[in-house]
Amino acid sequence: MDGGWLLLAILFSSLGPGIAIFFLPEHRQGLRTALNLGGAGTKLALVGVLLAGVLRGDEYRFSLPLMPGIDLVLAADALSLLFASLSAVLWFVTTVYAIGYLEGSPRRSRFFGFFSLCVSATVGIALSGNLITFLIFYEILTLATWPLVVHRGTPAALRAGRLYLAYTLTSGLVLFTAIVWLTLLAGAEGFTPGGYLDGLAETHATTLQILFVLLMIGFGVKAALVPLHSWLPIAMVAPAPVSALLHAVAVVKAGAFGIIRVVNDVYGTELAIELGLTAGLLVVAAITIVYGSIQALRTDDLKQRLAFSTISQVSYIILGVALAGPLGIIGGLVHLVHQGITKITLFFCAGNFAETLGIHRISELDGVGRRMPLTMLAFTLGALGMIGLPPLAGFVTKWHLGLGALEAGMPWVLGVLVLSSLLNAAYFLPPVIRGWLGERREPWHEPLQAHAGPTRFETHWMLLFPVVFTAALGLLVGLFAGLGLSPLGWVSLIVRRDYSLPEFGL
Amino acid sequence: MNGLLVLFDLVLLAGIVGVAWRCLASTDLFRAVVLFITFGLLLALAWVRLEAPDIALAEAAIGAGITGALLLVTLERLRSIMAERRSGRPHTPPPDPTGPHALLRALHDPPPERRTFIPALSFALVVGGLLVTALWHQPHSTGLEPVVDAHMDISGVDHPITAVLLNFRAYDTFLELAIVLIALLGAWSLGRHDLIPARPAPGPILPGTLRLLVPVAIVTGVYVLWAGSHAPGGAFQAGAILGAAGILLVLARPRQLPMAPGVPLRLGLTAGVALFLLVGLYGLVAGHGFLGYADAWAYPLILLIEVAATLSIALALVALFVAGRPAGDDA
Amino acid sequence: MIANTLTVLLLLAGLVFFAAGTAGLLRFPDVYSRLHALTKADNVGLGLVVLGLMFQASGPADILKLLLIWLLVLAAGTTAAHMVAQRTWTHGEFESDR
Repeated sequence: MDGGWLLLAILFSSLGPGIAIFFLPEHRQGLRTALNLGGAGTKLALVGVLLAGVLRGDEYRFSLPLMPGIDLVLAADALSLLFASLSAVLWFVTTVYAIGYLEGSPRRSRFFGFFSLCVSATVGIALSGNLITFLIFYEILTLATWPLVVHRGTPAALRAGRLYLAYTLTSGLVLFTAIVWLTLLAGAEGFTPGGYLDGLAETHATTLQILFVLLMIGFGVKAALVPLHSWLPIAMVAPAPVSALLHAVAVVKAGAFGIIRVVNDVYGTELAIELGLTAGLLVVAAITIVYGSIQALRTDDLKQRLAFSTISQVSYIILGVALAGPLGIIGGLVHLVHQGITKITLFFCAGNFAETLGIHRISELDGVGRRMPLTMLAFTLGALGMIGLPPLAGFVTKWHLGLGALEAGMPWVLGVLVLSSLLNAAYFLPPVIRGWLGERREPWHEPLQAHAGPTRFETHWMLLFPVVFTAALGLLVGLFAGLGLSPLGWVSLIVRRDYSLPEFGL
Repeated sequence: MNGLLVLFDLVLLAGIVGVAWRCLASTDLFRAVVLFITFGLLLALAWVRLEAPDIALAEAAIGAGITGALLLVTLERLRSIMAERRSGRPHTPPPDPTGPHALLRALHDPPPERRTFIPALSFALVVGGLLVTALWHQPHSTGLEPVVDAHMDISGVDHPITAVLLNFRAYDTFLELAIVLIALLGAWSLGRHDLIPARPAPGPILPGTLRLLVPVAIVTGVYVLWAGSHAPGGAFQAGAILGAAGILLVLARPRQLPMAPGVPLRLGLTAGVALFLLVGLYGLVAGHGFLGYADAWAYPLILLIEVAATLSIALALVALFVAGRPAGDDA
Repeated sequence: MIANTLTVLLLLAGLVFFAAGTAGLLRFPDVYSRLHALTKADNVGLGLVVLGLMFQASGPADILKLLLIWLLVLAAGTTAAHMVAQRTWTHGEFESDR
């Protein structure tokens, strides 16, 4: 129970304000903003404290008896902190962005209430100490996201919401079945680096294989693995902050994180390789990477292109995990952070273009770099980062994934990476080129000005600051990847601890 | 004597099957609803014969009584909408693909039977086959009765059914309460309520009878709730009786619905689920597991939950009967 | 023994009324006559059955409960019959959809 209260405090720093916001009348804008930012700031600070503690080697654990033999466990290990700090930082930024984005629109209390619930669930997923706890928060996340997806209430939004629920609830049932089955077989063990199923490998090999497939279906829907991805591009009708939440902070990441947990801390990579599970996962991830990129090329809608790009990029994480060697896992885990930072930048930019100038399509981007230079610069940084240009974040990922593929003796994965990078360039460079070099003929029509009044910057500062911040962050994590507290340094620490490896050259 | 009982059971069974078949085969919706109510009453008798008076009470009150009332009022609504449509008056609300009108259309233009018949039949056969197989392979066991009996002293109540429903398997009851609430939310999400298309009965007879019946129903409801701790009864049955009293009141004055507006109504509707959840969370934090109680507190907590649940169920049933959000409620 | 005999006799008498009421409900030509037959079954038939069962009761509480059941059915049945009759008087015979 040592320090367990810190974990609870982290959970409640967003849950408490979230519940309070539900009961706020619509016009209490100041109080709502204070609650939002206060919650986000508190969470950030608490996660910082936790980070320092875990670095010192302190144990954090909080458990409650849920049912006889099954505990509700919150625990902080290095891996959970990777996800928790990512979502805490990005949530803060997204909150600022959402306040600016939704200024003057109706039903904001409802929106921010569910928004906070989502983040609480995400942090709960990050801090879950066993599969049952993970499942509970995972399902809460599903339900709390739906009102955000349908927030606008248009027929398209409702349709996207229905599809989202159909996919995620069905996969939730599959996941539920698998986890209950696994708990019956192996008990409600906590996540253990290297897995806790070794004892069953001899007797229950086939069952374990079936369970792995079920678990992957359960997590694969949120992680948007092909062929379970169709909900994600359609859900891009949601407001831009929600897209950021779906693609970078919470939902897709929760799926990927679940896969990481299962491979690393439930089955363990050795058992997973032995049962032939990682090979299948690797193929699915490779297909998803290429398929997502090709689909992204085919659409002119900016947000939809970004959505397909997410499908492709999140599978880098899964590819890294499925490579099942230390270097591959480093590549995969670090991409959890890198993809988050980069993709949130891109979605913020897309939101800014849409809110400020009413631009939704790539073909309308001509000359936007002169009207909104900072946003366009951020977009460029994000796009180049996704393509994997050194020294940006994406390069670090792809470098380690490549090394991991060689280490695992699977050079064909390198081919997938190269092909995917080429496709990345093919779909990300056109908007960048149009933005900087294109010529705008007619004058801009400016929907934002109508209700927000003139601003000193190229758009509302609450929309601009997050973009600049995350773009700079994306640049910094790439530039300073060698430092101990960079995502890469942290991920190396995780992998060293998990594999009990000595310091190895990177 | 035993032979007579067997005869009674056989007649009862024949009645149940016969009424069920007539109900399913009826092409007249009104007749089907009436048969369904009859079916519920016969089923309640069957439960009595199976020595399950709790279920019999619930079946009579909810299955036959409240469900029957809900079906009848739905039928009446459908009739009035159809009549409106036949008379050619333009519809005020635009056709909503998910709204009640879609349901109406589905009733009006039934899908081609041949296309649905084979899948429906094969589905029924598969499910039935699975059920039979499951029953066939069921290991012979004494059931859970010894386990329940062994733990009665820590359950906080004297009636085994209540002990199971509110202590040992409180999950089930909690989720049932939640389902009642969700059903109501579903009805409310379809829009505001319109007036029940029943004509108010003139004359003093109905109000006079109600003046007599409603107090009796309230006393009976509270008694059934109270009896739950040591005899058949409990929140669902009591809620159904009180709900029936509320429905009678609504029916007696269809033009002015006696629904409490806004916040009090919402608090009442959610009281059961909310209190149950709070108690459950308290159990979790206090280390008894989710929805577990400390032994000494079991009785007062169960009573508290039952009271709140009765209130919520009664209100929810009346609100479902009225259907639709109360007017003037914009939250 | 006497109690049992009385019970059987009263129940049989009550059943006669129920049978007659059911026959009337099925055979009579219009709503009013049917109601006439039906209410006899409800009122007298049930009254006899209840009276018969009272001889089997284990105490005054049970007797009172049985009496209460009869009274409630009387009130409800009367009201229902009244409403059906009134509806028929104002709107004519009930027609079903098909």
